[in-house]
Amino acid sequence: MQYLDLESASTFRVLEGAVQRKALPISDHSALNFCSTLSKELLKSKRVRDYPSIVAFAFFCRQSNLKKILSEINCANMRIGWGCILHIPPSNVPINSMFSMLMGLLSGNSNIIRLPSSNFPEVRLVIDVIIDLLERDEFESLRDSLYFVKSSRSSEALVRLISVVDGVLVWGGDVTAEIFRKFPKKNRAVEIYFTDRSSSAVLSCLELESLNMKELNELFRKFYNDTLLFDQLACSSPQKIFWMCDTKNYKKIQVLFWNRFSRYLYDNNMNLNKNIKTDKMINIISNIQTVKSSIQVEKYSDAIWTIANSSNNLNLNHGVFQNVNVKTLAEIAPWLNTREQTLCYFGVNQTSILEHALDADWNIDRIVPIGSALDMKMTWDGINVLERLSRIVDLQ
Amino acid sequence: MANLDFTKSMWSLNEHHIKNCNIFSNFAKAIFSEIKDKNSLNELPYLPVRAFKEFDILSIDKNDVFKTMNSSGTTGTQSKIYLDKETAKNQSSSLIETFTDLFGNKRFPMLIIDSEKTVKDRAKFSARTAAINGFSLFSRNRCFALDDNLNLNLSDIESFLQKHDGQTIFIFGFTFVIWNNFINELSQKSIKLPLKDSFLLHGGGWKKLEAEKVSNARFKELVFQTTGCRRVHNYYGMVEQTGSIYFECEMGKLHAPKNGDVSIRSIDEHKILDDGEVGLIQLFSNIQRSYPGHSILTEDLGRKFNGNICKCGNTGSVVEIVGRLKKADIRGCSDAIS
Repeated sequence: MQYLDLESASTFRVLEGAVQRKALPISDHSALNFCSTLSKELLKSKRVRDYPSIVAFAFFCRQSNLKKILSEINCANMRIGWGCILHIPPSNVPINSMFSMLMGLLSGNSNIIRLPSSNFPEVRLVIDVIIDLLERDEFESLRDSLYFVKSSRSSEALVRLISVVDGVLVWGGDVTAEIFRKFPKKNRAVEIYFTDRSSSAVLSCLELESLNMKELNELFRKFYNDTLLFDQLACSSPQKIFWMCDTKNYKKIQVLFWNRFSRYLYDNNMNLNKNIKTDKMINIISNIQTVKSSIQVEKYSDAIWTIANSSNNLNLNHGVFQNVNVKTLAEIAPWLNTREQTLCYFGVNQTSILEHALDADWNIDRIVPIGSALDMKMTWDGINVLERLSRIVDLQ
Repeated sequence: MANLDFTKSMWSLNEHHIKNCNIFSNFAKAIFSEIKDKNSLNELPYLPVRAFKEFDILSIDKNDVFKTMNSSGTTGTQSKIYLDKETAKNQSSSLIETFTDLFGNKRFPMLIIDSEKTVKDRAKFSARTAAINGFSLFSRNRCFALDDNLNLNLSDIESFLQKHDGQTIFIFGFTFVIWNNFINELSQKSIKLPLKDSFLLHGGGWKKLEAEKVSNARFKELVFQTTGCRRVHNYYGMVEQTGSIYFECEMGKLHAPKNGDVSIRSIDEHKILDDGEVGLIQLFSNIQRSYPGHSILTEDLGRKFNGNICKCGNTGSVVEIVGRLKKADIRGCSDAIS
C-alpha cells in the first residue's frame, strides 16, 4: 500500500524499500512510461474534469512533453538519481505534491511524499489512480519508488526519516525551509528549498482598451486561473499589478478592469473560497502591521479589493491586489522586492520586458503571459530541479 | 434588539479602541470607512476572531498588561488576549452578575467533571483550565470527579457528596467530557449519583457530540438518569470575550448577558441577516476595554432571536448555535512543522 501513516510503527519497515532502493539512471524509461500512463488515465477520468489543476498536471505528464524535457537535460546519459528523496510539498497549491513527485521520479529517485495535513480531494484523486497503476505487472519495479505519507505536525518519525534519505525537496516558504535546514541529514544529501516568493503582472492600458468583450472575458479567464484559483496564495500569483499607461487614463482603466472582472466572477459563478471576505480582512491587518499605518482599500466586490501603497514588500492574497501606475517598463524596477519570482504580462512586448529585466537587473525568475502564472516547469525558482536531483557519473 | 444605552456604550468603547489601538484604528479606517448610522450596533467595525490568533492586538501599553489569556487553537495557534487589572476585574464581576442572576448569590460545593491535572499542570493550560478556574469563583470546596486518566473517581465523588449532603451541588465541566467520561460511565456501571438537588453547567461545544448524533435532549436525559439532576444549563462563550457568557435558561435558550449582544452575518458577504437565518455569529461585549474585543465576528454558525420570545423572562437576545464554519483550508504555504 502506498498511502501510509508515518506515526504507525510498521511504516518505517515498509519505507525501507524506498530508502534502500537503487537509484535509476535518467535514461531508464520506466519512470517516463509510468508518468505518461498516469497522464492517460487521469485524462480519461470524468472526476478529474472538476479539477483544472489535475488536468494541467496530466497534460504536463503526456509522453511527448516528458520526452522533450528529458532530452533537454545536460549529460542525461550519465545521470543517475541520488537515491531516495523526501518531498515536503506546500498546502497552498495542492497539485504541487504531484509535480514534486514527478521531479523526483523523472530524475531517477524513489520518493516519499509527506502530504499536507489538510485533505485535498484533488491530491487523493491522483493518489488513487497511482495506486491502481502500481498494481499492474508492468509497473512492479516502481512499487518501491512511490510512497505517500501523512505525519503529525512535529513528527519524530519525520525527523528520523530526514536523517536517512538522500535528499529533501521542500516547498512551503521561509519558515519551513529554516526548520528543515536544521534537521540532521546524510552528508551528501541534496537539499532544495522553495522559499517565500512574490509575483506581479504588467498590463498595457492601451491594449486593454482595444479589447472587445469576448477578448476581455478570455483575459479574465486567464487572470482568474493565475490568481483566485488558489486564493492568490501561490507564489506565482500576481499581487502587484503594474498598469502601463502613458496617459492620465490609468484610473479609469483600473476601475473598469476591476469592476468588469468582479462582474465576470459573479456571472460565471467562479468557484471562490466562501471565507474570502474574512480572509481579506486578515490580510489587510497583516499588511497594516507591515507598513505600520492605514491602507486605503477600494472594495470592488467581496471577491476583489485593491489597495494603493508605496511599499513594494506587501504580502497580498485572497483577492487583494496592489495597483501601481507606471509609464514605462523602466519604472518597474524599484517595485520588485527581493522575493520577486514571476512577472506576468499582457499587451507588452516580451522582448522589451526581457531587455529591461537584464538591463536593470530585475531579480525575477520567470516572465510569462497572463494565464501561465501557475504553469509548473521542471526548472523552478531558478533551479534545474531534474539536474539537481540527479548526480553525474564521470566516466573517463 | 439591544437597548439604546448598550448601543451608546458600544460606540463609546469603539472610540476608545480607535484612540488607543493602532492596529484597530488603521483597520477600521481601511475597511469600515463609511460608517453611516451610530444608532445601530450593526455599523460597528468588527474584528474576525482569527485576528487575535495572528496578531498582538491591545489598547493598552504592554507594561500595563496584568494577565494574558490564551485559547487552545485547533491548529496550534492560540488567541492572545491582553488584560489590564480593570478589564480582568470587569470580566469577573460580569460573570458573577450573570451567574448569580440565574443560580443565586452564593458559593456552592463544586463537582468538577475533569481531572485535577487540567488545572495543576501548567503545560496543560487550555480553554478547559480557564473555564474551570473562572467558574471556581462560585465554589466553596471543589472535588475533581475524574482521575489523571480521566476515569471516574467514585470514592472521591461519594465522599464529597456525603460531606455536602443536603446542599445544592454545582456540577461543572466540558460538554464532551461530561458525556464521555461521566454520565456514560455512570450509566454503564448502572450508578445513579444522589445529585437531584444540584445544577449542572457545561460548555465547550457540541461538535464531538454532534458527530456521535447526540442531541441536547438526549444529553439532558442521560444526566437525569445518572444523577437525578434536572437543572442542566449549557453556556456559550469564548476566551476572546471572557465575562460575556450566554447561559441556557430553563426554557433551553441561550440568552445574551446584560453586557453583550449578538448579530448574525452571511458567511460570504457579511450582510446582516434576519432573526432565524443561519450565518456567522458576531458577538458584542461592552466590558472589553484593554483590547478591541468588543465586536468580534466568530467562526461559529448560528441564528438569533429577539429575547422577548422566551417565556423565562430574560429579554436578552437569544442565540442558537448550529455549528462551526468548516475550516476552508486556511492554506498557508506549509504546515509540515508547526
